[in-house]
Amino acid sequence: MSKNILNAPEGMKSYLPKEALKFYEIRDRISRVFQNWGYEPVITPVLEYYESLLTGMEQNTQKEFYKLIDYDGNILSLRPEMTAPIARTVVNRREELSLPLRLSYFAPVFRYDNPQEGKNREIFQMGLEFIGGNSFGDAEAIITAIEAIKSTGIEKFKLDLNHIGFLEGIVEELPLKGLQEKKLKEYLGRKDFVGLRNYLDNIGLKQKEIIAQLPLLRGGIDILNKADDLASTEASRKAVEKLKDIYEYLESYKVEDYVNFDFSLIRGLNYYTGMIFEGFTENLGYTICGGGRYDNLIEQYGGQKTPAVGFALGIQRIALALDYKGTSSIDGVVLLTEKTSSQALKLARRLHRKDYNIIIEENNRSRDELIKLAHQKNAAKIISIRETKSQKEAAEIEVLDTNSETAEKVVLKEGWEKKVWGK
Amino acid sequence: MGKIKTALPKGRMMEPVLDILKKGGLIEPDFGVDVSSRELVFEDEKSGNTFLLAKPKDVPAYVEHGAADIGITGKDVIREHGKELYELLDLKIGSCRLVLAVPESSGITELKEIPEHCRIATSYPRITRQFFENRGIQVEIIKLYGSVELAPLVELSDFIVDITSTGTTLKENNLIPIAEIMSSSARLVVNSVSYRTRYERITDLINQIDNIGEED
Repeated sequence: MSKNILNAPEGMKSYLPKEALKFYEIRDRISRVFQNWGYEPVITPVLEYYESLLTGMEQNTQKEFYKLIDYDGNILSLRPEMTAPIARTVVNRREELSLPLRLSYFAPVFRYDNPQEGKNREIFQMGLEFIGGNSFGDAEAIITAIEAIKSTGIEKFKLDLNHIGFLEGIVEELPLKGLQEKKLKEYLGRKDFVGLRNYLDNIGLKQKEIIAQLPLLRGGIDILNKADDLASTEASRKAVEKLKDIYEYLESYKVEDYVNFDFSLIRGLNYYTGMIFEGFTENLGYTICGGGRYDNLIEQYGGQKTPAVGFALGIQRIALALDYKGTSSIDGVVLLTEKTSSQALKLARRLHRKDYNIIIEENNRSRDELIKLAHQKNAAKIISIRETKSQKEAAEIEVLDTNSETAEKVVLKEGWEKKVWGK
Repeated sequence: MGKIKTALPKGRMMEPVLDILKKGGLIEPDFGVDVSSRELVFEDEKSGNTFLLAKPKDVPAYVEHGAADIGITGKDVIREHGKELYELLDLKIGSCRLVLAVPESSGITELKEIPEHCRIATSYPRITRQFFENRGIQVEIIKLYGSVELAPLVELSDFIVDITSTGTTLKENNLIPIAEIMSSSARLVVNSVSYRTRYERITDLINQIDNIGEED
């Protein structure tokens, strides 16, 4: 037997109910926050044309694409993130849509990451895109991200904020040639401060002090004033100004304690044009969310220039940071026997209609086995029909409490369910 | 707050690294790690900081996944693993070079004389592949876990790519370095999230270590 018959592809896995239920719980909590803020769900194809996904993306991320070729010779790709497919959709279907758009998603994305241990190649993302919004959009994205993370139960977390205009403004003034600007940004983005120092020495840049200062520009609101002092161009000053405005909104919404500023923060995707942010939580070695402003992307898809901002949360990583257990909530097990099957099914139907979670099982197990099964599903009661003479509906049932392991007879009259389950 | 987990490289770098961390204030001066013991995790009771003893090549994995907040290992190892780590400081110890070395008998003295499709033994396959790909030379790489200089002696490979600090081992095996691929020294690497959640403690440490360097 080929070994691949049983294996999931590298970096992918099946999630059993315990994990899947946890994901669903996280999804439901975050969905509620997105709904509270007026975001509506959107669904896009898992596969897109490769050239479409490349729009607005940097060359060096291309290796991360899963690619396949269809029978017409088109190159298709599994989406590596959701912002590009949503931007494409918005331009493609603009006649059916009106701005501003508040769109949210829960979707798997796929990245052919270098085979590093413990990295998922199928990533469940939840996120939102605020397209055609106002100047409050940056703050709205940050606040909803904070509220979404809070809703999952993670308490100790922070977002790091930056505005890419600050670095652009600094770089603008430097006598950099060719690829030097890109190199500098790479070192900063990877926080390779050793490499950065060596590189600055190598290219003999006189103004290296200002770049060398960047990694130190991290902290709370005070750091904005320091950044302001360093800002020597209009672009840098505007960036700091914008971050101050955002901070004021965060203060008004009382979430300012969740943010720091980090002027050497750079995000991997290069369609960002303004504010960017990343979120992380203590004791988890990975970031849990990231996003920012991308005002040129819609235009790159052939639409009108439209301001836009968004972010995504990694559901698997959030799940890693939380220790609540996903549990199914089964209320009871209804037992079928040959003679009582019709009555049992009618009873089950009635309970299902009243929104009780009921499993139907054949009564071919011992009492102990039944109780064990019920415990596995957290079912509090096991119900069997008491055989009576030729009655269509059960008049009397036996209810076995799986915790006390005692049974009692219950007569089926109005309101009996409340008596049995206390709800 | 402020307790730090550090992955230390077992082996020759350990002693000088401990000295630096003591000067940097991460370890109390009288704290000793019994390198010969089988313990792999130590706690400095005064500071509450913990230390894991890992193979230098495994340090990037511990740090990348946050099992350790910071780690110390060679630049060569970091490059080979290609992990997402923040490389904050050059400790300027454990210096060595990664070189392409050829048997003396081959008569080769320059990189451009290396023939296509030759076999190269190395424990740095990733860096080696990148090095030759960038020069458009196609080579066959054989990954070994140690004693790489043995490979040309028994004709497992034509050449080797390996680290050398003094050059003695190469010389003893009649190997001549003809090209330097990279120079390396010990680096302090930090987990991307720990860098943020323990920012003050970590920047303090870095500044203190950095100042030692300048005083010397």
